[in-house]
Amino acid sequence: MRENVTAPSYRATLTTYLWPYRARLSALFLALLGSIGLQLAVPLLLKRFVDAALAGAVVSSLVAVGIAYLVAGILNQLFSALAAYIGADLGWRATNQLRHDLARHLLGLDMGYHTSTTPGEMIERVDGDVTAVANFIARFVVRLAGSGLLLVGVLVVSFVESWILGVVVGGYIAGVLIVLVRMRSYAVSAAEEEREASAALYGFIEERLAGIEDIRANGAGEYTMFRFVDVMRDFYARTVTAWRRRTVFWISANTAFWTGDALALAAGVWLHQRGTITVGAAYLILQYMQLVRTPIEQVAQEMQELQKAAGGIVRIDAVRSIESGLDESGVVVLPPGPLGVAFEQVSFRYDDRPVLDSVSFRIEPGTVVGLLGRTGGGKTTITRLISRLYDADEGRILLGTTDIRSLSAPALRQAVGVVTQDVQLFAASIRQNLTFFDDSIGDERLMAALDTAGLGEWVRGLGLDTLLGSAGQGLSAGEAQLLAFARVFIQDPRIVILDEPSSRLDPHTESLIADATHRLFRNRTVVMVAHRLESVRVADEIMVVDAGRLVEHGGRDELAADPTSRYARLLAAGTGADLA
Amino acid sequence: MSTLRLGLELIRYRLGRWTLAFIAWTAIHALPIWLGVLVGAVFERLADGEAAVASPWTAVVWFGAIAIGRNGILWIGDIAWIKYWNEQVLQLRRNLLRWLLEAPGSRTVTASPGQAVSTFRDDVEDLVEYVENILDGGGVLVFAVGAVAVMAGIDPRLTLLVLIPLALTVILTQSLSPQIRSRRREMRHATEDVTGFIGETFGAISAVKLADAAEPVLAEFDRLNERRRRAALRDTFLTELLRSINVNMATVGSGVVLIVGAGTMRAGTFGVGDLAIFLTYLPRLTSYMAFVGDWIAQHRRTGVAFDRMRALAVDAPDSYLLDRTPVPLAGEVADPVETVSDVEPFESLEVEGLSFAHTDGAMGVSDVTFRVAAGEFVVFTGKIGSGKSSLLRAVLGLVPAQGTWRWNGREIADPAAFLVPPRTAYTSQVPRLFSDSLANNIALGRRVPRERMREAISLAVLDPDVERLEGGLDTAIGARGVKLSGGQVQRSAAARMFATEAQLLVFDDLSSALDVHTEGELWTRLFSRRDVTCLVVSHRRSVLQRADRILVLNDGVVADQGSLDELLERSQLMRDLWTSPA
Repeated sequence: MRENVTAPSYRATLTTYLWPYRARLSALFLALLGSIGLQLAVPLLLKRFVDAALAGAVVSSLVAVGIAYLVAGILNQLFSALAAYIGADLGWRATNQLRHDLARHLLGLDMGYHTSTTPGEMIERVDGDVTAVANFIARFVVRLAGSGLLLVGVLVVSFVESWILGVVVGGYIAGVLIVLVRMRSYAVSAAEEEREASAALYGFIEERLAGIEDIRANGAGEYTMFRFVDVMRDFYARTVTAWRRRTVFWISANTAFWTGDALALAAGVWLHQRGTITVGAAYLILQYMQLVRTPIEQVAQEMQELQKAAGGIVRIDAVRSIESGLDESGVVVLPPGPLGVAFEQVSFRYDDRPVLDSVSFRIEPGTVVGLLGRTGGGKTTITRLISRLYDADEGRILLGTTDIRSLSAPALRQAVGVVTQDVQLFAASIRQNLTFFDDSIGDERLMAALDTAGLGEWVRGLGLDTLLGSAGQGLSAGEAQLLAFARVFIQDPRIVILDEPSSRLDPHTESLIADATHRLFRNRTVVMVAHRLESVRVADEIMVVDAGRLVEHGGRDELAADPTSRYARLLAAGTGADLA
Repeated sequence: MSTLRLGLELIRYRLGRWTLAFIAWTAIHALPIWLGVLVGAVFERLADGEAAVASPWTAVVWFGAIAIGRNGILWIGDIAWIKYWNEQVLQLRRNLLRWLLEAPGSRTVTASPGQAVSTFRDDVEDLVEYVENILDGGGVLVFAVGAVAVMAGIDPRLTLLVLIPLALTVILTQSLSPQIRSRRREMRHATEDVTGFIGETFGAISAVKLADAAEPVLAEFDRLNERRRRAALRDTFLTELLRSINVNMATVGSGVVLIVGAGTMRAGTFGVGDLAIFLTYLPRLTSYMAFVGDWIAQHRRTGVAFDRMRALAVDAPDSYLLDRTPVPLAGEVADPVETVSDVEPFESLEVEGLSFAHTDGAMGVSDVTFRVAAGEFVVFTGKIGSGKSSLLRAVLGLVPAQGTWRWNGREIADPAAFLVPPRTAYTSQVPRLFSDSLANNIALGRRVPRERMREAISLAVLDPDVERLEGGLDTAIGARGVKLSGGQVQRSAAARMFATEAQLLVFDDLSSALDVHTEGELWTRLFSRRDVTCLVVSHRRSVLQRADRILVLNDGVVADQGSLDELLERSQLMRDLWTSPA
């Protein structure tokens, strides 16, 4: 992807995030300047030593130069290590703030955005692009600026020594830099290919290791190895090409540097024989030629990082300019007391496909409603509108008498609790999974909620700080469900939306869940999406949705007694039928 | 096998190529001895001025010729090494994977996928890096000996004096380089934590939103970022420390040369040329000393890396892991020939006294005996955790188990190798698909005739899904393709099993991902084929009703077996399972 960085946004991003660290930034530049000054000074000390020795100076003055050389050399190393350290610190601090801001922005975007992106993309946006920027600050500032300054310094000293020398050194640096920067992109494009080939190779291995039983039990070992040869051939071809290209770059650089050394020797000999410079100065030329190697290499290399960081900043700006489709600026707080739910002529479209068509109903406070209907009929959409993951396109949704769009986000979240079918868990402790990392909730409250959910004993055995694996590793489906119940008990909402778990559960867990469900429904308004007819036996009312319309709504007993009702017909079709 | 022996074994892999690279690299490392002498000669003659016996120009020309010629050798050495390296890493990875997928007996990967992949990537590279160090070792040694000889020839006392700080470099590098590696690892883990957390947060975005938990989640995110910053700084600190030591040892050495040399220079025994030689050699000598320190650390690491490879490929003989049969990395490759072994018709599978224990102490199975005859439908049922899935895997030899297996009355020595298509095929509880086309996933690399493929898809009730997929059977699925739902994955795996046309079909629970209706359809379609024999784990009523025989498992043992009616009559456990709402 090629995009043009607009200078203002680029500068604005860097300024915003670097300004708070201006003290560190100044320290960084001081360390850099110190290191560069010393690097330039060390060869000058050598020059003085050689000339003084040849002129027959006293030993003590030679020793003094030697000591100065030693001190300058060690100080230089200290300064450059300090600069690298401060640079890294600065880079991480500034970009951690950027990561935070980006994550906050993305968390605030509506579900429409999130359903169209994958977690992998989010990792790339929040971390990948930002890390490119971090490298840019840490390495570009330290290495590129430092290297550039050093090159300029060498050039200045060379001109002072002899203008001919200045021209030679300047021409040499410019020539080598131009060639290397060009060649570098050639080596880098191959490196990207190489990265892809390795990702393919290790991806193949990882998937096959995970599926080792499927492969072995289905006798596919030989065929898998055959496919692996294809992947290896691709890896080999791409890696060897990339490495060769790198070798070409590296050998060219090396040739240029050694040619530079030979040139430096020749220039020294020639200028000395013409009487322009001393032997010490001839040695100085060789030293400076060796001094410019690293900065030249680094400038060539960091130019690539610069491009990558530029791409990162462009993508970061693009993400920050996306606005949430959900206006969450409401401030209204709900009055205390039981809450009902009402839909007034609510319509909703998803991707221009009508999902709900003018749905109206009223659920009195404290009523348990079983929501039935075919998959894709609109059941889940109704629950998502009540929990305001989406906004209706037309019509109004009321909690009590308040339009949910005017509610403040905390008030809404406090009032509506949701148990989804698949429980989303973090690779974190049980406590963190219950509280979503909110440390302010005390153990007693957590344990009380766990007891109500029927998980108290289980958690007491393990401890609240037991780590769960990612995607709920180490948890049975039943335990994950009960954990989701405990989350809602902690929240203690007035309205509960329950998407009935369809996971296979053994009888014991089923009964635990039934108990927890019973406690969850007490004194709350409940909308339960049911997949089995047995589940709605606890419901007071039944709503049946079909093709985006509410086709039936009434008391469960009345509907069951009316043989013409859909509910009665479903009952007659036999228990155990799966409606999903 | 000692680590050095291991290194030599690896060198023998492509001895010719390695020798070529070795000669080239020895020359590359050794030539700077001469270059230093030439630089010394140039300055000696410049310092002598009019009195010089020869012109400095000869030395300058020689310097240029050697310095540039050396780059030609570099090219030869590098190309040889690039090929050696890449062939060798792939060879080792091939050997590892082949053992896991094709070796006789039961093969399980006990390490987590991440750890296992890191053995494939990092441990294998450690081995080859060790060979690279041997490659460099010769030249490093020649340079060190040569340079020290030249320096001692000039001034033995001064040489001894500057070598002392250099010896420190060996010790410091040796002790720091494992530390640097562990800091790197820490840094990598900290990064994985950050990226993992972002992935999980946005994977659970609706839960985060519903709980209004953005603030605490962000606080946790900041904490992880802060931890990574610290890890990064520790890494930077150690790296810079090591670099400083190396550079400073050279600086200290050079300083000593200047301070001590000042006196001898006045005395006329130590010239400017000699000074230039010392100062040219010192930085290279220091970095070579660091190399020696690193070599010692690498030597230890290589032993550990090879042990990890052995641990991953349980029971593999070293000769298998170091096998040298070439991987066809270039040129034409022929498809593997389908070995159409004439299998005798299936009559029965008898399993006697089957026992298997999990290494982590979880419920295994003990002393299970049963028989499946051709045309039968046998179901294992029981509570969650009763050992049903373990039992299926033990029957197929996927996990190491004790017992006796008989196929058509004859005992099987290696059930893992024997119980494969065209005899048996298997669908696990959580089947894995690979990032490839759907067709390749179903065929698993075999050549499946179109008719057989169509039938397999239809039997698995996958046909409506294939119709909906834009690319049909050629649709790429997995990491970089379409993400299939759990049910679609399960049915694709079933199609994969049907496509093998195996005589005995082994299913782990289908109900975890399929709804009652779809699963029922699958069984109806399957039973319309008369010749089917199945061994199934399930607790769905519709499946239990079809069973010829049911084995009820409880805590890893068969509590009872018989027909559904018999069991409902006499087994309380069976009645409990039957009335559970699922």
